[in-house]
Amino acid sequence: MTRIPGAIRSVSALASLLMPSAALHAQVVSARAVVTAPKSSVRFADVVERSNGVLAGLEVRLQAGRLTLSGSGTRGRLTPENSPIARTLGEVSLAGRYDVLSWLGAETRYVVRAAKSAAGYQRWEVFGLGARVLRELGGPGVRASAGLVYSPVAHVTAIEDPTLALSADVGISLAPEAFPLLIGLNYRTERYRFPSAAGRSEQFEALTLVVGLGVRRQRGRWTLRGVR
Amino acid sequence: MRKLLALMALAAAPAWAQTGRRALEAGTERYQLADYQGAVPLLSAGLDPAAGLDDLWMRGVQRLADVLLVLRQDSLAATWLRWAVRLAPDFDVDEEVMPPAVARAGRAARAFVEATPPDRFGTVTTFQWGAAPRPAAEGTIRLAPADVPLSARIGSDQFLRGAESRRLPPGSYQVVVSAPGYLPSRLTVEVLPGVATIVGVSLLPETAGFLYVTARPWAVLSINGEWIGYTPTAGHRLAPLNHVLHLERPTGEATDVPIAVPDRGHVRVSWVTKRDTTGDPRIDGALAALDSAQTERGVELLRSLLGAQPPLTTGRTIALARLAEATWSLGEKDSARAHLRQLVQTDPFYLPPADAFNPELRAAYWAVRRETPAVAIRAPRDTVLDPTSIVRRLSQPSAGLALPLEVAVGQPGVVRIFLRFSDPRPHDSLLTVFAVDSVAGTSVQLVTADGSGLTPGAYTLEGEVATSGGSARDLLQLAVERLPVDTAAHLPPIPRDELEPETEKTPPPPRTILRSLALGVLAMIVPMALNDADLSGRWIPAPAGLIGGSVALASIVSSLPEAPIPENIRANGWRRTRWEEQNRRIAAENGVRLRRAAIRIRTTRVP
Repeated sequence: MTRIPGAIRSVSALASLLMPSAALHAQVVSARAVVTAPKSSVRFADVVERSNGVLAGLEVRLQAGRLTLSGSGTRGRLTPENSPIARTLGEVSLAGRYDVLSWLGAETRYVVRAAKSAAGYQRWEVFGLGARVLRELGGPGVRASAGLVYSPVAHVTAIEDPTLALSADVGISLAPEAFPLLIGLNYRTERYRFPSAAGRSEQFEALTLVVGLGVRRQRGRWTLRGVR
Repeated sequence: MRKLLALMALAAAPAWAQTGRRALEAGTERYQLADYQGAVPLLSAGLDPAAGLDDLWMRGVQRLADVLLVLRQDSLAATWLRWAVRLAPDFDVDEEVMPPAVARAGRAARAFVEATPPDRFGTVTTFQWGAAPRPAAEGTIRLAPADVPLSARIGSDQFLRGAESRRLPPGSYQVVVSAPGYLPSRLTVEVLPGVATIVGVSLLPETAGFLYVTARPWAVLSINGEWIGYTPTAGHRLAPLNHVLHLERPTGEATDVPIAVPDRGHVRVSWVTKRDTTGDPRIDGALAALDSAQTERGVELLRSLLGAQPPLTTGRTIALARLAEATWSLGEKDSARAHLRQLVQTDPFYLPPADAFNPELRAAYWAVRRETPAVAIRAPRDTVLDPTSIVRRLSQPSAGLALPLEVAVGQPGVVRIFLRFSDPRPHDSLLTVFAVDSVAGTSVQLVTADGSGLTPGAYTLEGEVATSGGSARDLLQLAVERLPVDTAAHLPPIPRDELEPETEKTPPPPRTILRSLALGVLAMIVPMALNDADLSGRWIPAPAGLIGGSVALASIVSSLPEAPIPENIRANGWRRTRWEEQNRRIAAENGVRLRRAAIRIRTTRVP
């Protein structure tokens, strides 16, 4: 499960195909502050190590018609429950989504996550494809979403690559149409299965709070309007 | 000079003139009975100028010309008409009474006479009527005796000495009288059948000088007691002697100017109390040259200025008027008329002041004006019109505004005033149609084609005249703006928090609760599906519960059914209706105020 550059090329090609039709529609650019409470659980040789921490960062999102492109970067610390050795964790992700229907979107995501501690340096690179279901809950821009991403390409330094990488997330967001603000809560679970010979299994969870501010461009004019 | 000739002719009235007058009356009777053959000798006999150049005489000439044209003696008719025009400059064919052929012949005769003026010195022509002039007879031309050995060439092959006479067929003849040491004198005379034409000449010596006289206001010029004509006078030949000029204005103001004319010298006399100024130093310089009696130089300067590019804008009217006057004084009558025509076309509003053009030039100006198609419209350059005062004045509701206009035409005709619109599409609206003889004042209602008032914007006012001589038009640009008027502000919308709530939430039905809970559970299951309880240490991750609960709660809250509150709806409806009524009333009052707002109109001439 390697060949990461090829995956990036695929994302770029898909984005360039979809961008022209999206440019005809209203465009929304939003910047969001992201605070994440991650939890990492690793089993290795029947020993489970769980770590918790806090990550903070920024996400920038461009929405044009049915196409949404986003990029984010977070950084923080992850401290094991039974060990004083903390890790510095950083994550950069690029994602694209095309809404096939008003409630269903196809999604692709490329994530690079790096952890550095006194014990060493580990880097994860994951490229995934998936689907997202959206549902308006009524009221002033309340929307729920759930997504499932399969990562055919996953590469981890220093250890064997996982044989299975899946990610699922669920979230709820509030984005009133009349205001440029967005508040969202998202919970993501990532599950990695390694070859049985390695005796290794990992699960990464993240509860993320997003507060964003956006501008909308319609008919050539930029206005502070709802982000969605 | 022509009047002098007429006076001399009258002074020499013989006794048989009374007989001539009776012949004229008898000829008129024959003419009216269509006895043309019988009318010709009687009318010919009755036209002896000794009996006076009165209305009967003038009608007699026209009738004789008519008869001769009917009898196909066109040449003889032309000769009689030329003779009449030369003898009586006021003579004109009455085009409303006489047939067109006579009118045409009259115009041709006038053109011929004006093209063949005599030298302006020393010639006197008198006529001796035969006892019974016969239409087919020849006429006689006689050179009056003089103290010097005169000789005259008539046409190209006839020569006469002083006191000699020659019989010639009727017609117009050019006569050049000369004597050794004297300036030759040229004149054109008409030889009439059975009439003796006596040419008296007083030649000037070859050393005669030139006299230029300018007077403003114009004056009558006499030299040594002899009437010469109106000022300005240019190039008048005078014997190299001492003379006394007498200038007299129509107001009675007079002055005597003694002059000494040197051999072949130029004497310039200026009596100018009122100078024209235009503000353009080049034009003012040319006008100063004319005022100092330097006529040729002034004409040259004005011609170069008027022919220069770009065309003169200020002072063009005065320049043309003075150029016409100067060229007229130089004897260039056709050029003068061309300048007068340009003057009319440039500014139909120009009416020569009484003291500017002498009577001859004034008559020429009006004759040219009445033949030149031209129109000009004039409105106040910047005016404010108050519709309320118009409504009071007209005692009727008026949607438009009355703009005072002045209209001037050259040739009299029917003037149409159009208002041009460019929005929503280019079109014209005919405002008024009226006949204008010279200058007229009117006012036009500025309204659109459908009769509504004029909205602020840019418009073009067009004046068009169509005459028998052609058509002409003039454009005025109108900038219409509404002056500020106090209008009442509309009431702001009723704030939402001041309105009573029109609905209230009611408890959700069980089905909604179940569906929302199911949605929350579904949201929770998605991450749970991937959760490895052994690995994470929990079967149900707390964040999944938080998200699932939020989804369920949000779904329930957003799905709460709303029930209307009828009394609140009624109260709010009444408030909204009142708000709308008040705003409608304010809008109507504002509309009235805007319609009654004063309109400012600025006009600019379209070049």
